[in-house]
Amino acid sequence: MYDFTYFSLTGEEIGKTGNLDPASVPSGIFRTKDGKFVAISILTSSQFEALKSLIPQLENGNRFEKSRARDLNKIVAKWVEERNLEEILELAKKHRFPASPVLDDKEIAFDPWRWERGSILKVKDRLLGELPVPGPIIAMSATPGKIKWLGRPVGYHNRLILKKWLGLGDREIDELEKEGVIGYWDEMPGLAPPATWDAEKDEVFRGEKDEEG
Amino acid sequence: MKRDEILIRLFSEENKPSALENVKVVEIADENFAAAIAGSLLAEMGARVTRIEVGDEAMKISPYGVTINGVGIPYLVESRNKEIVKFNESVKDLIFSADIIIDGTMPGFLEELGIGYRNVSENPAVIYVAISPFGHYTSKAKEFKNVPDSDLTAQAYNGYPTLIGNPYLTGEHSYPLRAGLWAAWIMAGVNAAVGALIALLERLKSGKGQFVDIATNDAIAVVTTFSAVMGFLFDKPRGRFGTIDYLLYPFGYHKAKDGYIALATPTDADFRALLKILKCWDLEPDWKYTLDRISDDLERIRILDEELNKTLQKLTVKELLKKASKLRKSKLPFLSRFLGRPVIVKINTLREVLQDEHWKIRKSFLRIKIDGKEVIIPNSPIKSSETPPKVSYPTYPRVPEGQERGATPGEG
Repeated sequence: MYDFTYFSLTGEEIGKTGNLDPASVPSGIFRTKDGKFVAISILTSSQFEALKSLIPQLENGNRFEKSRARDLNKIVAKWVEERNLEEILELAKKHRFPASPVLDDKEIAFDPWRWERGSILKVKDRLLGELPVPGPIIAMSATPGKIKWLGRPVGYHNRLILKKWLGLGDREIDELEKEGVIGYWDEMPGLAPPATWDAEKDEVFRGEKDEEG
Repeated sequence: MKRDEILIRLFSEENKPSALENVKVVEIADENFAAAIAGSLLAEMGARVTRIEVGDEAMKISPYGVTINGVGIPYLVESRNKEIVKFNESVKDLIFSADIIIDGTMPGFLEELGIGYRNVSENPAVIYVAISPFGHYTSKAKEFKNVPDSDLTAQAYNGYPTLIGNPYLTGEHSYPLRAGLWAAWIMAGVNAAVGALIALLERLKSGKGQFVDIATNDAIAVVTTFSAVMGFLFDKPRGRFGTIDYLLYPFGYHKAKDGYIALATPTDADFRALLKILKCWDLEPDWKYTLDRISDDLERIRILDEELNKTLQKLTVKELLKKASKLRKSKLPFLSRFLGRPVIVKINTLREVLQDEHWKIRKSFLRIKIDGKEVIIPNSPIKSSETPPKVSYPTYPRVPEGQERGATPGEG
């Protein structure tokens, strides 16, 4: 966090800055003509000049200064108000300044880029079936990350660990269960295995086989 | 010797080696601070990080233009332990012999300079870590390759501001709100460093390096998991939740009479204890159980939120903390569970954080002198006993004479 360094240099706490990134002027989240939102964040002078070529009213001067920042943001807000989101994104590509739509959960879940990149992927889980989940954040060319299985209910792996890995006998495990040393999930939705699950047929649960993936 | 003294000695930096000694890192970040943060993390751990400047704007980027000797705050902080050189033909040897290359420039840019992955992977052991808005592959990455990165736009594409805005404002007043620190850039930078270290560890086995790719437009959404899963399973996206937690109420920030608190009641007993100190028993019948306080339906939870806020704002932070401390305690964990206790924490100002003895002992902040002026710099949050991170500014960056820009300290 840079706020402490700012405080030591100015003697002031930076305070609440809202949608303005004070290190990036103009910057903010603005409402477009078609009722959507766009984030614009100008960091460098060349990005500023690119935006200025579209909004001539923008004067650089000392643009980072507090009151200038507010004024410049007002000019950008007005410009955005008169344009649709897609038009602004096209201009950002052409003129090279940072701009982005503000997405919501649904747009994230169905974003073709995320599916292509592997940021969202469908995992075929032995217990839960096929589910979309977020993929690994780090893409690695030689040793890519992998989601082998999804979360298991509390205590699901008790027997796998105690019996298969640590060599305890069934009677010892039963004893631990009886004494309340080890336990299992609550039957609340989301915490328990699916209703169709059959403990007797589950070799991993019974501690006879490792998870596979 | 007291426990604290033993621990302070255990984590002291004196006469200890660094974990990444002899690891050579080249950072080409320009104004992408996610890449600079990744370089800083490796530099703190002892890697020899050379920052190569291609552009000349990064050091001017600073909150409200505040600079010291013409250098902006993010640049000053992220120059920790780094050597900084200008890009020219003579630094190419350095690039081609590096263990790790951090590339924060736009995809394809380094390729044009003859130092892209295709060029540097002539050395099969090189680890190339790229950070960009959409990554270095996919059709969208290609389409948007000229749109520069920024933290705010990355937060937006991650869907983060959609959730943070004020939940009670509607119509034209309802706006998404950014997180007040570089949330997307920090997350991307940390994961780029993690990726570099995983690749370095793997290289010990295979002897080979690899390409590590981070997309800042992904950095938060992938980690928080909810967005993707909920967006897929539910008909409607989540709206703005502000400081209210999506799962359980109360679990967020609230205003007291003279300041702000963080408040949480993870169990029913904790919630009852809160009602007890606020003397709000009339709320109990409707909100008794955790299931009553699941906060996904904001219209419903607003009723409780408004009631609690009314009472909280009549009490000072001190009064709230005192009341909570007087709740009945038990030495038996079994009984404590039933007695309950709300979590109430005062939200400190920066000034209060800096005065806190705890952070002084932990050395969370460093005070360095630049031209006679004391400057506070955040220290590494990692404390490790054998190879502690070290932060120093042997030659803090300076703008060449005649090129100073921006406000000087105090004028911001």
